[in-house]
Amino acid sequence: MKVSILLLGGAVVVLGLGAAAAATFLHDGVSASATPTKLEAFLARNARHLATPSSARAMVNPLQPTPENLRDARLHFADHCAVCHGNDGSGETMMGRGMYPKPPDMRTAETQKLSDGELFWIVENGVRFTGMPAFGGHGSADDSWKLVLFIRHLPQLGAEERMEMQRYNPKGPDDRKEEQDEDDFLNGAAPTPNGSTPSKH
Amino acid sequence: MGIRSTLLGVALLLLGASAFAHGDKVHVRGTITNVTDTSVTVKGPDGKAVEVKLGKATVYTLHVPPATDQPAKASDLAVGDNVVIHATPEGNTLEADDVKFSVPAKSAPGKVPNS
Repeated sequence: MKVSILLLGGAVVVLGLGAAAAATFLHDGVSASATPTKLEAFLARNARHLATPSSARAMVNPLQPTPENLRDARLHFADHCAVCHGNDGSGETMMGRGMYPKPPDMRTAETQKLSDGELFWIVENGVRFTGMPAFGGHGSADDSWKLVLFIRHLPQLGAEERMEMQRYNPKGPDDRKEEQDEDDFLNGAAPTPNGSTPSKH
Repeated sequence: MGIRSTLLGVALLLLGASAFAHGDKVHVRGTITNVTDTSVTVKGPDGKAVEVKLGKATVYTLHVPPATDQPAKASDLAVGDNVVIHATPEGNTLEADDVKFSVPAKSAPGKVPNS
């Protein structure tokens, strides 16, 4: 009887703490614009690692980082990946900042220390419960292996490569108009009325 | 397999937590009135001056009319240049991601980016 009361009391305390935690959590709403805590990031990274088959992690890139392969990957990345990851792989894009979890800065050790096979598997299969889709089955495996080469190259990405990529980034009518306005301004056209006042993008 | 599933489940449950939000990108356009190693001040026709911080990751592009873009460096920026900056707000400051600038026609001859 005493044990039952203790168990019941413990359950009530646990439920109460859970309810309090949930109320605190949900008080201001759950926004995707928030930044995951270090604990979440740690657990998510390990969960992703565990979700990748060990045989996939051991795969070796069959392609070499030739200028041709890197250029193919660079333009592919600019067209398909940069909208979230950014041309430089930083993840500092409007889409990237609005995701939960955010795309990682792929130039840092957290990504660079992954094996080629692990990166390939992520490109092909995506990452569940994140914004990273599975790209496998929509092209040859070589495309994904080339992207692995490019991810390895990201920490050394040069200004000329970034400028080339900007020409291949998908753009809507508003983006193109804004780009044209900016070039017109730099070409000497009359400045817009808002001048230096920062305008949101 | 059981441990993997448990860890995956716990991780996904925790992915609902929240912390703080980031700001939006902003665009700054105008004429450079001051430039240092760490910042550039831009003044528009409305007379408002905006200071933007320059960082290690800032990318510089020299625009040569009508449509040529060349890689450049922070040291290529000069007072009087026309500039378009894409920046990220960090607290009360703006940090430049991309700085694209051109040299006004009257002073363009002879100016080339340092290489």
